[in-house]
Amino acid sequence: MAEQPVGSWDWDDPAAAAATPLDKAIVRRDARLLAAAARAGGRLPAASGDVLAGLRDIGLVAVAANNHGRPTVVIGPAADVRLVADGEDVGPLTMRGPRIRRAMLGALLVCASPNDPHPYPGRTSTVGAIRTLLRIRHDSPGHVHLKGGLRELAAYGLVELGDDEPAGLPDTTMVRLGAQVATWNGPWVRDDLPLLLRQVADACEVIL
Amino acid sequence: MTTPAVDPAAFDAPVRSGAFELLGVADRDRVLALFAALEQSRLPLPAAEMPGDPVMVAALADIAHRAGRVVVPVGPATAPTGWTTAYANDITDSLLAADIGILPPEQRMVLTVVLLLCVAEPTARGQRPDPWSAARPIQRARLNACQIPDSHITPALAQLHLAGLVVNGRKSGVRPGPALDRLTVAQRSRVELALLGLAAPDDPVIRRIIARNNDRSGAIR
Repeated sequence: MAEQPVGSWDWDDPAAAAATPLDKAIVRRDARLLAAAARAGGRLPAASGDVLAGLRDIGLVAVAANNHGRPTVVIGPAADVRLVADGEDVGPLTMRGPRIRRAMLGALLVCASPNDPHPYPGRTSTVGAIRTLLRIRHDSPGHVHLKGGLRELAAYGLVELGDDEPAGLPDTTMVRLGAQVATWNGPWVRDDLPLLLRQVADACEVIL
Repeated sequence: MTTPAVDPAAFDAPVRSGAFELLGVADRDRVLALFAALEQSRLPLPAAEMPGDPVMVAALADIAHRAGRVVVPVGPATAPTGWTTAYANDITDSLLAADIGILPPEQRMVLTVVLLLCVAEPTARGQRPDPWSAARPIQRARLNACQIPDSHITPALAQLHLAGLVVNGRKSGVRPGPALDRLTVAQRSRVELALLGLAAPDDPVIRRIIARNNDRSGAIR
């Protein structure tokens, strides 16, 4: 019999009785396909967590409930990548350019607390709060860059913008950290990020 | 001439299952960090950042495989300019079969035109861009000339740009984006064949090439 490639479907298999291709992957305990599907589609049935436990144990993926309370998990590759090298370098985003880094820093500053063990899930804030904190004038080029950066972060699942990412992103648009932030781990999240948040919080106190 | 840190053929070798577990804790952390960098970086990692040690290379290939991914070179096969990750070929087929990760029709239409103008056209002139993201940009007006309504082009370009599938520069024009470097040789060949089929659907030679490839590797979607 020809070897069945991992991840392909065999309709005579008991797994074929399951409802969706991802359900079938859970029945077949196909962690490769589930991990790849999560990367491509973002969300998996909750039962995937069990199949992915082996990958989670070696730090290859992280599993987190999303913050809408839906019965799903969101996974991504663990991102213990880059240390905070200076004031604006935020973890794995060091490679994504200054605009998105600045927007991510702003989102972290208004949504995360230095006293929490992990920035995710943090609290809900607004686009206006980020703009004010970063001292960006309304309708300035910096404001346009901030909104573009936030949209890009939303595309990566690093922030969530309102319920449906409203056009124009007015100041009142709600911002919360995206579920991909839950996958961040390592020394820079444990040590450097709280330090950075605390320094900025102290500086804001002095300014105010 | 500088020697690349990693042999371009290193990731063609069969995956050694369990190679990751053979490493010590510090080396495991290094390999995981490198894999996460390959997965998350918008641009390919410079070749100099890849490990030269075959044990580390085997461990990297092992964990990529477990996540349904492969490590692929970017640029000329003999002297890659960088490295990135892609879906493994068997995983791509399964994702397509499950309708996961497929672009909406408007985005597919615009991306196809960008690839026809930036990749297929220069390739036909003997100037194949390698990697595709290094292709010469086209002016946005050329997309409008393709009879696609502007109401389709603008939002599709914005979404494709966010996904890294095109670079949409206001002044520099439109070109394939770095996400298109995340393709294996087989996946890139599929797209190239599909572009050939689009450019000359009635050409008997091209039809024969596509049919032969379909027989070999399954349906092209």
